[in-house]
Amino acid sequence: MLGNQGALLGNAMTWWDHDTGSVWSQPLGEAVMGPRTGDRLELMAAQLTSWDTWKEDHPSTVALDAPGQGSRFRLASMTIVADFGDEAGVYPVAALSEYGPANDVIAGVPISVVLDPTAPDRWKVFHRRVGDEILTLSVSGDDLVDMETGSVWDPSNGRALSGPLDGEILDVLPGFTAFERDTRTFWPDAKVWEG
Amino acid sequence: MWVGTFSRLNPNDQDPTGRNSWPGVCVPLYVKFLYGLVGLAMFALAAFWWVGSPAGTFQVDTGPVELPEGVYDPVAAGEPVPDGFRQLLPRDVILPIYNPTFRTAPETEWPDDVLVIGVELDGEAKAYPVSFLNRREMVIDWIGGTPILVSW
Repeated sequence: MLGNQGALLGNAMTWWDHDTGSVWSQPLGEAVMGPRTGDRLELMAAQLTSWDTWKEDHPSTVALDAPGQGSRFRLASMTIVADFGDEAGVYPVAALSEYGPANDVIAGVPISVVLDPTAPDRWKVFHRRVGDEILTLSVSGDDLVDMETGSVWDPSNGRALSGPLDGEILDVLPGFTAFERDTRTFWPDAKVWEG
Repeated sequence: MWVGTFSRLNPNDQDPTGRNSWPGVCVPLYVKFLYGLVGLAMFALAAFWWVGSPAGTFQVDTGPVELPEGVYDPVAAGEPVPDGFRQLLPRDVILPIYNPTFRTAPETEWPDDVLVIGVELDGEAKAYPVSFLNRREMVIDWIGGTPILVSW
């Protein structure tokens, strides 16, 4: 069980665990003080997106019973981070919007960071491998395609909709959104994708 | 789905049936989002809670929260703090949502453009509005039988 430590580390929040009292850094998911120092929590794939897009992708979703209001935060001004422990990559949403998917390799894992060409608030980090083949994702018109086979992929769930790989599914990897200034604090060694 | 470089704290701690009794250690999974708080903003949030002005507007039932007493605090114990560490408030002054409740999508009257954190696991999907997480910052929850922390 975790609570709010009430402290900042690098201008981001920290948690405390009820069991040992250790203090955890939010962006790292790692205990930085106390008996559990060095332990890490497992990061889960999640989306920061609009309610409209989330509902469309997950019609049976439930929603926290709380007020939902407009926010001053805009995905377009943020970055997507893929942090696989040994290595992290930072992908500014503005660059993804301008140049299309980022095909990269992080900690030995071939990934593609993708914005939906028809709904730019929908993003995913895909494992761009099918069997032994490493794919290069690209945008063609309103479609997400791979350059190796020309198959068309659904950016909401990684399923091939048509083409030679029809029916194949790309795994979704954990990625999260962060403000650019925080990426410099917490992942100073991460490469920043510029298109 | 998972990248193998993250280590689970204690793989034996998951108890899908024990929704009211938390594992002895920490939640093994979390959903991570940075909130670039500056100290001033943090104090403002705290003041917001102390005066209690929003209490009548929140629908979330935080439930009876029994916070453990006497838990070790490395800051109070004088452990060296990492560079950039600043203790601003006592623990849980900004109280996490420990017992979240939910509505179905048709029952939820949010504008379409509300920014949400969405999580899906094992066929279960949940959405948390950022405008609300701005105030509470943490939701302790379960999804698909897995204990999670949603943090903004």
